[in-house]
Amino acid sequence: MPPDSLHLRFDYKRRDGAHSGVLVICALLAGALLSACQSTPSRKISDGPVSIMSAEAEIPEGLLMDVGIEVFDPGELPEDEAEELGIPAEVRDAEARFIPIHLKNTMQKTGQWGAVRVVPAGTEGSEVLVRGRIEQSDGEVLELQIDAYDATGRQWFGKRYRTEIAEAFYDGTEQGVKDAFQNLYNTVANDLAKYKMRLRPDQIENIRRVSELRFAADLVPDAYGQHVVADTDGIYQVQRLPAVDDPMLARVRAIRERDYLLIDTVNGHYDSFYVEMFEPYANWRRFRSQEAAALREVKRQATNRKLLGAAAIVGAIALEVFGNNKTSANTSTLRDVMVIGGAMAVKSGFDKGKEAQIHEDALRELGTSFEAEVSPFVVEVEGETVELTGSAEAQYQTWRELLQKIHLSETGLTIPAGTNPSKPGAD
Amino acid sequence: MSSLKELICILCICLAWSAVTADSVTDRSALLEMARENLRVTQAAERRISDEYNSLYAAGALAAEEIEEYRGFLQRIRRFVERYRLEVAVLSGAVDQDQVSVMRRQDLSRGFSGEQTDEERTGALDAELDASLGDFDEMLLREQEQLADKARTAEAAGGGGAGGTAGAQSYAGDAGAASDTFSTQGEIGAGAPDAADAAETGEGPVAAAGGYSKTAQQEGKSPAPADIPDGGDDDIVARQLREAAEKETDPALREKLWDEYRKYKNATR
Repeated sequence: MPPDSLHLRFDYKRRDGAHSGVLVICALLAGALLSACQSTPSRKISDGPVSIMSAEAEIPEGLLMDVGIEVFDPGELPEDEAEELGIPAEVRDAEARFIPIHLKNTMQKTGQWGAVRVVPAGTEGSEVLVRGRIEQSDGEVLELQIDAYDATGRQWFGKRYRTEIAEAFYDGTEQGVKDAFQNLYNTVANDLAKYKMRLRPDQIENIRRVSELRFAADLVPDAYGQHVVADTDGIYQVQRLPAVDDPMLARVRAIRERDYLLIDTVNGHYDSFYVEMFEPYANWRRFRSQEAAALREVKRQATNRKLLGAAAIVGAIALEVFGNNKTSANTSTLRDVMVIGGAMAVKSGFDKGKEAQIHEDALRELGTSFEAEVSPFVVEVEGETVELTGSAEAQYQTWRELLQKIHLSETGLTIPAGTNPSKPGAD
Repeated sequence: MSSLKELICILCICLAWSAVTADSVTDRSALLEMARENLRVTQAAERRISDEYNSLYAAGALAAEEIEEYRGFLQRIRRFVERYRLEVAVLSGAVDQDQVSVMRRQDLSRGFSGEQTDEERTGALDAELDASLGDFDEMLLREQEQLADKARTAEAAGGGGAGGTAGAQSYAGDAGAASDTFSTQGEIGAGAPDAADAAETGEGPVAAAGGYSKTAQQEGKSPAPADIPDGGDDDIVARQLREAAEKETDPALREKLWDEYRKYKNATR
């Protein structure tokens, strides 16, 4: 006896109406199956390695610009519960510090810059200021919004960077040197270097001068408030220069050196935090990435099995509905097999769905575990930063008042009534 | 120095009085006369004290403190001399009235009764600023020492994650180096059949959660029986069974837990 499938084919050829009906159902099922298979998005990893642009020759001291990278904005966690899975807000807070520190490490090695420092948010006076916001970070994808400005207030660029990686990228990571998302860090550092290289020496000199005068104006507004002013576009322009041997500027520079020392000390705490976080962070991202990939795979398999099972059952029903008596008789075994097999496939799909729950639990546990590990580091570094910058801010206020008195003493001016000889805008 | 101090007191009182009452005198000639008298008195005082200082200084009869006192007073009285000279010039029509107003305002802001000069005040404020900067430097130094201690402690403890997660495999060399791994990677999933197979059986990727915790082999846990694999591919359930077995102190119960672990592993394989 020939196989049932041959009879089936023969019967379809004879009965055009039934044949087309079955074909339509099969086509619909195939389409649904195909779309279901495609519903698990493929994840494109980044292109080849991005080389870091190092300075080809030593850059003269006068043309080296200092960079301040603000602690990043942690951004919003995804609204989709499935995507958020296993990414506590505290982890984002930690990343908001870790990522700028690694960017600093990357930029420092290029020889393109003077000092590169991570600064608390809202810190003024950097010759080049880099601000960042974490748009997505889940171990597989890192997406950042980066905005760069110089001291004149001019925006160099604002760009969105996104990199997707494979798990293999976590092999060979090295603290301070190589992160799994090193391509992204290199790209950001290169874009900053490219912009800087387009600047003429006199433009760089102007940026540095504006930076110094803005710092001076912040400390002694009566002396330097009119030396640099913002135009209607908010771009700071130098209006006049202090004397070469201006004793007040010498005092301002002495204080600025302390400001640098303070930021360096804060960076010492940041670096310590980075060292403590590097390994657990890399591990968390690697294992989260594995779990997320496994979860996607299990969900895909579950969906496929359910659809295949449903297709088999519907196919069996179609045979019953559209077949004639002879077909029904010849395919009864096949239909039974299709129904039973389909039901088992659907059940298997649901079982796979339960397996997905295990992966989701694992993701949550990973997130909770990493959060517990990293939160004390965040609290510690934040506390030390606040303590240092808080006491420094009180000290700066004292210095502002002292410099104001010295300025009055040197110029013979009197303090206008109702003004506060301190930070501009404080009164 | 007693005669000097007497003279200083008389002069200061005289000058302060004249300054305070100057605005109330409306008669220009009287003002001019008063300014001339003040100038004469201050010039005489300046000459006398200057001579006295020079002779004492030459004889080496002055202590360092007294030298400073003489110099300070001479500086002050010379300023008064200049002020009265200018007033005489203005009142006699030799200079513009605005100039003397500026001078008077500056003098009033300084005060007439032994206050510091601008230079002295600036010097004192500079000294205060320097001291404050020094205190700040010390604070930063202490902070940096604490950081260095912390780093040393971390190193001594073998912590700090030095070397990070650097593994035997290299994926990119240094930041700019090319890597086959970068260029040969396909899509995640498609290029990882092992992972997909493992996921099919509920093993593999989930097991990584177990690997994440560095404390899995901490002291105080019983070693696993010889036939138990290393657990690198444990999923969350297997990991919980393993941890429960490792932590169990009762040998009989521990063996039962290991049996459960074996059964689970066989069932999911």
